[in-house]
Amino acid sequence: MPDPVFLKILHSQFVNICEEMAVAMMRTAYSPIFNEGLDFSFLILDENGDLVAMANMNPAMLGQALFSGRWVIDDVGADEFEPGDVIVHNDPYRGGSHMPEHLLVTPFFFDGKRRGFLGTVGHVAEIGGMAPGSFSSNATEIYQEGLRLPPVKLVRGGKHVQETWRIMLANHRTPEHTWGDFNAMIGALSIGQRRLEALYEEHGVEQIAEAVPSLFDYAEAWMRRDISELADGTYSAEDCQEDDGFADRPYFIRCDLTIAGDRVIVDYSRSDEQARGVINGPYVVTASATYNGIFQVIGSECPINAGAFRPIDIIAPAGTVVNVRHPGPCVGGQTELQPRILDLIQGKILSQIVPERCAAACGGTSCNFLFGGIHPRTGHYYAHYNFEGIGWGGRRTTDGNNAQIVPHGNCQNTPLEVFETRYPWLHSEYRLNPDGGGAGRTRGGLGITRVMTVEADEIVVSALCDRSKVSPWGVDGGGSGERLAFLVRRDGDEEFRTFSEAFGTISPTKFSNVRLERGDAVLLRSPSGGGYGPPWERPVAHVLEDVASGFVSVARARADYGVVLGTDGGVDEAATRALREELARGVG
Amino acid sequence: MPSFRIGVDTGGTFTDLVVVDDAEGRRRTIKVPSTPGQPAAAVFEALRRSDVPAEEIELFVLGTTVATNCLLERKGQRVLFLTTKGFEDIPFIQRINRKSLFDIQWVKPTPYVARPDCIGVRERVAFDGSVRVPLEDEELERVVTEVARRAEESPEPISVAVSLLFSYVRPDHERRLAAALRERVPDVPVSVSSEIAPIWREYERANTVIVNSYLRRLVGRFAGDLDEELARRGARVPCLLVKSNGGQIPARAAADNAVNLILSGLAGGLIAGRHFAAQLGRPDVVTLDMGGTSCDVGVVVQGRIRSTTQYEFEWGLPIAVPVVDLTTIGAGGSSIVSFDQGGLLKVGPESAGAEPGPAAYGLGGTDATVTDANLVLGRLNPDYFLGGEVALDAGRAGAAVAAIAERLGVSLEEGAQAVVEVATENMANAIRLLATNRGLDYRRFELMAFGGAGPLHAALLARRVGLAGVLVPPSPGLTSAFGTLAADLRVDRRATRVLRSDQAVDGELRGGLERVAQEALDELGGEAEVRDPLLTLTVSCRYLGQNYEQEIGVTLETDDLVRLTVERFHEAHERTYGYRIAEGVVEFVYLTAVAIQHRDPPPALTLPELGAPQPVASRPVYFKELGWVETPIYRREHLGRDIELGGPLIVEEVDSTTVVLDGQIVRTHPQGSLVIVEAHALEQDELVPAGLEARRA
Repeated sequence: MPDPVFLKILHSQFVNICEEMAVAMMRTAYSPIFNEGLDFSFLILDENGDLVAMANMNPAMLGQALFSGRWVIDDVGADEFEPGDVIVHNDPYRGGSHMPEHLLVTPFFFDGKRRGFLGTVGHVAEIGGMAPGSFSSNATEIYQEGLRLPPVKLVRGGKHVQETWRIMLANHRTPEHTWGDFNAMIGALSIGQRRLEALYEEHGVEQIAEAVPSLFDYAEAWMRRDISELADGTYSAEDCQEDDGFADRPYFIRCDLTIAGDRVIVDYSRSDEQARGVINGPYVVTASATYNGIFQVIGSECPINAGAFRPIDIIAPAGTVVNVRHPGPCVGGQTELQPRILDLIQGKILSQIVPERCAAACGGTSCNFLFGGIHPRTGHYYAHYNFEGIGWGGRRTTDGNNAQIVPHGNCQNTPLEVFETRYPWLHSEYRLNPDGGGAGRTRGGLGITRVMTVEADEIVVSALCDRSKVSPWGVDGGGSGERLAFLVRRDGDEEFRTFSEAFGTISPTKFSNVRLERGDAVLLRSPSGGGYGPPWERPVAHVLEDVASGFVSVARARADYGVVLGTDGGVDEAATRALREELARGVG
Repeated sequence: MPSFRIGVDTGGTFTDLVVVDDAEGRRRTIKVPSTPGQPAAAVFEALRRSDVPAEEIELFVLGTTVATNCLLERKGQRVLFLTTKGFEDIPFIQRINRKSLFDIQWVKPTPYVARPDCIGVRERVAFDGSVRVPLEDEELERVVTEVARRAEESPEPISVAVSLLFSYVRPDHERRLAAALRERVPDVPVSVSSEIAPIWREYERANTVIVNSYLRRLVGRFAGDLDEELARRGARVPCLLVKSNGGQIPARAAADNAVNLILSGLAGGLIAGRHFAAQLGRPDVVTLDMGGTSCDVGVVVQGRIRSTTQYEFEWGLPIAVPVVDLTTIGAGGSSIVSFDQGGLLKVGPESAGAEPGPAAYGLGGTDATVTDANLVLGRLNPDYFLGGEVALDAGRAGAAVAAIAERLGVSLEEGAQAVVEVATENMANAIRLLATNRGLDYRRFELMAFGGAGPLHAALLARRVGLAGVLVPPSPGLTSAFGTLAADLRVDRRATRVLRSDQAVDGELRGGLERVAQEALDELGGEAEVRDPLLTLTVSCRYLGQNYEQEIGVTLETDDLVRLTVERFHEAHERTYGYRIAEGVVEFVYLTAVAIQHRDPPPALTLPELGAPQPVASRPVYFKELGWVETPIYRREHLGRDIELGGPLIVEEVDSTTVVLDGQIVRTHPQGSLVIVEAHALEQDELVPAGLEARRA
């Protein structure tokens, strides 16, 4: 085994290179989803396509980072790479996650031999298909979800492959952005290439070749040690996505997780059959979310590489909602199934073993909102993919964070000033949802309300959200978080209504290609997190702080927390004591 | 007529004061313990010990951590935040991402304002500057009355921060609001986003102006105290403070721009780095200021300090004002050695501070620190740390490091070496990331190392990163204090003006630049007597569609301003990111003017001819490649001009220790700096230290 200090140094150098590529990407990309949203990551793979290191960017790309490299090698052929190639790939049926997520990978040659790959996975905001933003909740086949690319060369030997570019640009609705974004990705990879060369020069081929397997072993040992501290046994739980955009019925994910010494076996065999709509995930997505859920609880500082995942086996039968069979659609798996699985693993299963390291359910949906059309100011087609922060669930000792992206990913919002400069909308509200957080000893975090009005003759919108019927759950006696609402107010109407009421969409939260007109307004209220522990055990001082901060109303302080406030704002201690006892008895 | 220049650096542990006696051409240094509760007290104690008569002070400049500590300790004043109605939660929503990927227990940063103190104002400006909801007089009246009521009822003084949507495009509403408030509640200071940070991205702008309000009282009081006390003692010059951008500002003007002092105490080092780099004829250096608890890394490029407007003290709470471009990492002499969950060695960011400090201090610390490791390796002299003022206990250091070595399963010295390697790698990563984030090829940079611990690690660090060499200025432990004296007067003005290169905008671009230039010059003139100021104009450019800009230097001495700007941007983009989009439309976003009144730096030292130096001692020192080697120890003051010595060796002086490795050569520059280079690189002429060129020829 190489010198452990050298391993540590080498690992941080690999991660560093990934971070450098990420910064270059952020600063040069064209789409707000990249330069503001940061919906991408960068990776280094070894010569077999196994993950060596990944940037601390969006962990939703973990599955693709782990699996798609080997697919690319198999598809392209191990001997078919030459220096200066860049391969593009987004096929969920070949190790991808959902089609907007594009892998660009370039072989890394040193001393005339291929030593590994540099890659990036990024969510391309518009890739064609049946709805602007390529997130159609009404797709029933992958062929409707946009342009599908098996691993093909985008650049060959440093020269752009015009055929590939032309096909891609002809099928995406906003080719200028595709052009700018892909150039940013390729540029960032070339920066990584130079840095990795310098690293090989510094350490030498042999030393690195010897160290990488040791890094894998090191991460594996770390995870095995952490897993063996968990009590052996099989732990089961389930959760659901509330509908698939077609049938008004929930689709359940059922998980039996076994801890056996230093191994974990995660079995999803009892899950529901694959849905007609887009809420399915390929195996890669299910694996990504499973790993992520486990990593939220153990091994959080373990180096992320192929070795870390060896102790974890995942069973997900084909044809179920957790392993979609071709040609099933799956754009929502990455954004909606992932958070559901992550919370199931950490909040309902691992919480049975180590509750102090877990949390209640978060808002649990990416609140995908897509829109596009001809821009009234430029005359060009535009499209945007927007997601929203939700409330996180309460933890053993701390309240859930307000306004946070779902934990399976790690993206930023698009600032309103960027949003309105780029797209024809005018916001009238962007604020937290008071009283939204699930009541608990620690409270669930608050979701966000966004209200915005159309400032164009027409905008075509699509949505893919969840948690509008099934609330984010609390744990250990904690209350549920407030559910999602996705509403529209037609110009001239007084009231906000659901899209089903206003436009007759089958699902109120999963629809595509609704045509809004000037003056129409959209209201998105994102879900809040669940509470942790009985609310009447929340210290009165914390309830008072919440009331003072406007997070909890006086009425809910009384109803949920049993804290009675007098007209002067002070606590009526006797009434509070009595009410809290009553609430506690009511449950007992 | 005697005249003295005084520079002060108030650090966490020590307050350093440098006196430059211009008449006699001498300089003196004084070190006193800092008084964190009352930072001004240590300053005047140091001044008292300097025996400089106040009336003979010609210049008094101070770098302060008052604002820094106020933010870190969360001791600022209560802030009322006024913003467009419906958007009061922007400081709480932030950017919705998080610091650590796999930590569901992570707690989001708390804003510097309380939620009930966020007040909505009925008004709305759109992206293009059009007014969608006018700010009516009744609404103005309502808001002003509300602020007055709260100010009245508040048990503590309040400060107002105003940031309305799109105020960087059209500041009218903010200005009316501020004017009304200043008239009605003159005692309540008002900070306005379109004045403090007229940039797009509402959260970043809001947080910046909130921080300004949050800091106002403490900074104002500290600056006021200094100025008054200095005057009371008979000084005829005002007290100046170092700004985060590396310029100086009169103390009396500091409160209104409090946010501009957040890096005041850290900028001195970088300024000194530039000063000594210029003295040595080096255009490009990386500065490394390593003290007890942390290590600040900065860059000087083409003789200039870079600045940035993206800075976060706490993750997720951005402060968007110009600051010298620095990265701070938790790697100092007192950084604690531990193991991560996977059993690998980890150094910092936890620190043993000054008390108990490293185990070797014998003040009760038992954790191994970087200083302990250096002591075990023989690199530090237990009897000559801070010139012998602090005795180091090699036994305690050895015991602490032994525990680490045992867990690693290696010998004591190998364990200590591993600690130094990991600490060095942390610094190396900081340098690489800082450089590459800014598109700089660090391999042509030299490392300017100072602070008590900088020169101890510099030789290995430079070798590890592949830097071109190491420079160690005179009195490295007092470099930051010295730097305050080398600071120029500097004003940064910025305006947001979104223009496209494919539209005829030459006149608009020129007009906008002329306006910010005039504003910067006026402000500079208001602060001091100005002769031939240096004016730098930049246009922040991006390809239409990108969201981040690159600052492109421009001149008005051209007939085709737009074409010149676009061409320079293409070149810069290609240089930084490896490609250009030749047919791309370029968007101009920010226009920036930096006005600088250069100050003559203190005169340089001249090393005397002292002949060939003799080591004062030798002792066994451990090196990774060589093992234990009996190594010569030199005293810095014995090294005269034109000395050249081959490593391994150690140079000791009162406030620092310099290590030179095997295969490296150290030379003295006539003006006092040490220059360390790899012996094998000496074949390349450009690496020959400037001062030695003549002799070689």
